[in-house]
Amino acid sequence: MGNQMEKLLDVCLEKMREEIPLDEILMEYPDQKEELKELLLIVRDMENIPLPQVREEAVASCLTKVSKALQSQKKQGWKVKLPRLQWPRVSYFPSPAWGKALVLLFIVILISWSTISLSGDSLPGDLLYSVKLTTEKVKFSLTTDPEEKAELRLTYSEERIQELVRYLDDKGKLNTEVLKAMLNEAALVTDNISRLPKDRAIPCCLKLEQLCAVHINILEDLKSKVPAEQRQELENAIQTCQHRMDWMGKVIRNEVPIGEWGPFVLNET
Amino acid sequence: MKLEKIIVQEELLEKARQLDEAAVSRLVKECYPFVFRYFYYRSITREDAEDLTSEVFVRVVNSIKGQKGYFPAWLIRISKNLLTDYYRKKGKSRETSLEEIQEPFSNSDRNEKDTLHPDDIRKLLDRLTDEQKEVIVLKFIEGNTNEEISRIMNKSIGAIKALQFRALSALRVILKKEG
Repeated sequence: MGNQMEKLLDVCLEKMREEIPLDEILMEYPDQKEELKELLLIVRDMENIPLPQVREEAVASCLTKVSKALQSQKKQGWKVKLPRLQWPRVSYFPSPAWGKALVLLFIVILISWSTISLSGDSLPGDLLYSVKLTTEKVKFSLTTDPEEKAELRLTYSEERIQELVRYLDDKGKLNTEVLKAMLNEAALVTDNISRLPKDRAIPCCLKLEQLCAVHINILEDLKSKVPAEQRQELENAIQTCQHRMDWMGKVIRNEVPIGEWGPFVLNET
Repeated sequence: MKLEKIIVQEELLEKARQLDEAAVSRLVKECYPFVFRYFYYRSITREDAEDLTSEVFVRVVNSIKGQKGYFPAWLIRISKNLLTDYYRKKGKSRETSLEEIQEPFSNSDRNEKDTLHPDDIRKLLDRLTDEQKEVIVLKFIEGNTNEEISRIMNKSIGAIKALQFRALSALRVILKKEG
């Protein structure tokens, strides 16, 4: 019914536009005459209402604004348009945000990796030296196997002695902090060896013994380069290394049990 | 019958797209009343309607190069966006009182035979939904055909016919209530 009225009303409106008198239109639809009449009268009234007057000043003001916008548009047309930097669209990702996140992640990884790599050659006092030590600590914390931990301690102890040599060459004096760190790293190896079964502990003891021998050789070479007032500290370090090497020999020969490390025991805690 | 239908020639539009000053100026003059009335029948003050109309044409100039499709529909789309921004800025004051927007019409505008006054129309339209209001203005004030309205409002002709019936029925109810 509603649908029919919509159509009828539209037909009547078309006839009104053709300027057919209202009564004549309504005569064709006697059943809907009353309802249609009311609606058509509203339309007729609306169409007869004068339109709001447009003010000349308002049009003039509008033309001025438009003219300014037009000039600005024309000026822009002369400018060389630089291509906009756009993030690459990778079809594997559902939205460009994923692409951005991936690129940013890649940049962060690249920067971190470069920093860590550069810090490898740093010496105490350098800006990146703390990064180097932190990286070593993180790597050590992430390692769970005692044998691998012992290996890491040996590597770090070796790294410290390298730093000691380079520092001495650069600055002309012994860095006692690095010397202590070198000895500590070697001592801490024993803590990890204690947690290993005998068959895996003995090879580690051999490595530590060998490392101590290397340390002794290097430290002996450094004696001539170290200032006289620091020579005693070097002597003490050589002695410690000697004792540790001897003790490791006893462990390897089964003269003392694994876990009894004599005077140079150190615990992780 | 005093319908003022907007007719924009394609030739004029083409020149305006190339930012020809004379063509743009003519386009503004021809379309100004259409856009102004769109705002005028939305219960806003004449000054605001004039400001918004100017802003519509500034936006037209800024983007006419890429204009495609039915031009009046494009004009209405820009006007709608501006009106939405206007209402948002005004916040809850969308319901402007009619006393605030009433204005005297010249004597020549007044016709003793008129059963409705121009301000009555604004008052009545304000009681309709946005779509009903739009169809009434486009059809009975601007004089567009159903087909043109369907292109402007992006609806089927059947939907336009239904909308105009519901809008007129709503107006009849309001007028009966108000006596």
